[in-house]
Amino acid sequence: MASVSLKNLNKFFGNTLVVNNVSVDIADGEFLVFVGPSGCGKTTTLRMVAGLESISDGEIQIRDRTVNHLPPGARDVAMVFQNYALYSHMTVGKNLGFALKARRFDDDDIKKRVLRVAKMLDLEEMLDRKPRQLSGGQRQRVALGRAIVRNPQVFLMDEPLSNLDALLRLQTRKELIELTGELKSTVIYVTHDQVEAMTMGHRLAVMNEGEVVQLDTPENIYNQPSSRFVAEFIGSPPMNFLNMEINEKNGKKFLKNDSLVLPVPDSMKKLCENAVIMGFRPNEIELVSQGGISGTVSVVESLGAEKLVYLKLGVNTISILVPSEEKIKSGENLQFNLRPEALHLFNYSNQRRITSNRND
Amino acid sequence: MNSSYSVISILRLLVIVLIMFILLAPFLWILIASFRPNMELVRNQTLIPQNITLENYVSLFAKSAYWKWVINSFIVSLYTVILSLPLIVAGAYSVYRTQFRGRNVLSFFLLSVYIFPTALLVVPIFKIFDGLSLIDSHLGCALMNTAFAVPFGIWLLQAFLRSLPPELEEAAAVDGISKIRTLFQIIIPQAAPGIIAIAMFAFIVSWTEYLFAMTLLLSNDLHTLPIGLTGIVFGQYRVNWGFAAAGAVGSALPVFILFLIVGRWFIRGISAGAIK
Repeated sequence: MASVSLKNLNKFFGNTLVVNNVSVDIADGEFLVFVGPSGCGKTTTLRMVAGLESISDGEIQIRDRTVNHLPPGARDVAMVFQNYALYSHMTVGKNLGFALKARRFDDDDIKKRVLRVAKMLDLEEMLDRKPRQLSGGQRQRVALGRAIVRNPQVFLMDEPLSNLDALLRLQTRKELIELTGELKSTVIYVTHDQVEAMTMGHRLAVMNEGEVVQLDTPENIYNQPSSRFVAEFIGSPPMNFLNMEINEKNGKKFLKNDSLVLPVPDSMKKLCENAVIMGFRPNEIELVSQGGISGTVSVVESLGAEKLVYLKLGVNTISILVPSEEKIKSGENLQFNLRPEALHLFNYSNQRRITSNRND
Repeated sequence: MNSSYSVISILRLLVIVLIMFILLAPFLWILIASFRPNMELVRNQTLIPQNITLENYVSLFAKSAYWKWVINSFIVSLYTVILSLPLIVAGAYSVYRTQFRGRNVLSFFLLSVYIFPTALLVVPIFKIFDGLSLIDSHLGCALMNTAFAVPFGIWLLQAFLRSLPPELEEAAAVDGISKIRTLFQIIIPQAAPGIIAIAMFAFIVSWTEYLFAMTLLLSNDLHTLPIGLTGIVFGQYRVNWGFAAAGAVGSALPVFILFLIVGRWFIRGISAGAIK
């Protein structure tokens, strides 16, 4: 296994910059997830690491060796593709052993390795079958096995779970976490699914429009999103945002819009903006019977254990999560409290997070 | 609602039958004509034959050099397939799946060979082949057929290759498998239905080719089916229509049998390109 280092990576398609100055150091044995909306450059970044896409500018190092000009096969990485890319004319066993055979491993060694991986992935019974005779989940495991059998320094995975149905995805996600943990492998994983990213990654690199906008642990990204984009993208259901003015009265600062007034949290006292974007997550509210922020229920969606309630606050609509026992009907008036610690404030113009310890 | 739906489906069926009839009528006529005596074909033709005879087939199979022509046609067609397939596969793969300078220009001019009326080419080709001692040889004839089968074959196969996911090659590249090995062990097996369709296409192009076979094959012993049949069907003063019809059936029959054997691959090959 090995560390991977991306230094100031750029990629142009024609005149379009699709990967913009991406720098990430991935430690030996780390599971790093590139996550972002489609078209954000995450897959292109992965393909540059694999060598399937040329590098317009910057450097990629694997185990401290620059690999920019090495062909994919010489980089000692293995890749799992979204559509699995199985060789459908070969049996599962041949699929697993093909790369080894091409590398002139001797037959006994190939057999041993293929069997070991098949056992690991519960594919022993399938070795003589063709890919079309397998279920989606089994095909996915063959694709994974084809990567594992080579014992590469780095695993590259491009949305490997996105073709599976919901239940199987959940199960495979767990298996993948266990497996990569066992193998202690360095993994670079690409997904647009923020839940997958949060559950699997040791660290996440959130990408938008070609740039890594935040690189941190899932917890830190969830608790301290660096921008409105990250705050909205990570977390489900997404964060609520309201445009607020900052008013000062008797030396105290308030967040104010047409329907609510909140004191600025103590930690944000140094705030010097006139207007901010205020964000809070739907689950960070507390229903109260009186004296809270008041809104009218417009839609109630039952999620099973919880209810997602859309509330009209003046001209804005927000969503809140409440326990499913709460009996709520649309048209009803609800009141809730927002804890000051639950508030995230973002700069109105550049949409970056306003941190509490700023001095400017 | 239900009855108007069934009226529409009946109308649709009628239209299909009509179209099928228009398409198949000439073939049906030929098939029926091949069982009629020549006299009946020349005058008083009725829809249903008055007399049925096997005399046309007897003269075709027993009294003409039919079997020799079939063998000659088969040899020329086989040569054509053997010569054109590697060119088509290599051409389609390199033009449509690799990057190189001038690729677009090359693929644009690919079909330009069909711009020229073939009759224009007969004399210069004869001169060139004469210089290369390729006159009066099956190989020379097959070379000519190859030249006409390859560009369209490349065009047809690239449509098929495009339907294969590029990740197949990328997976192989990441696994460190060479381009050549990828072509032979992954792309060609994956494209097998398309390649079989192309082989059929090249075979039929060669099987039905008349002009160059007529020009390049001088000795009677080397004549292919189209040349041999025209030679005996069109006598000096009269045309034996019944015999011509039997000859047409006789020359289509081997191809028809071939179609029955590999036809489903052919359809798969054609439609794979069509869907794309």
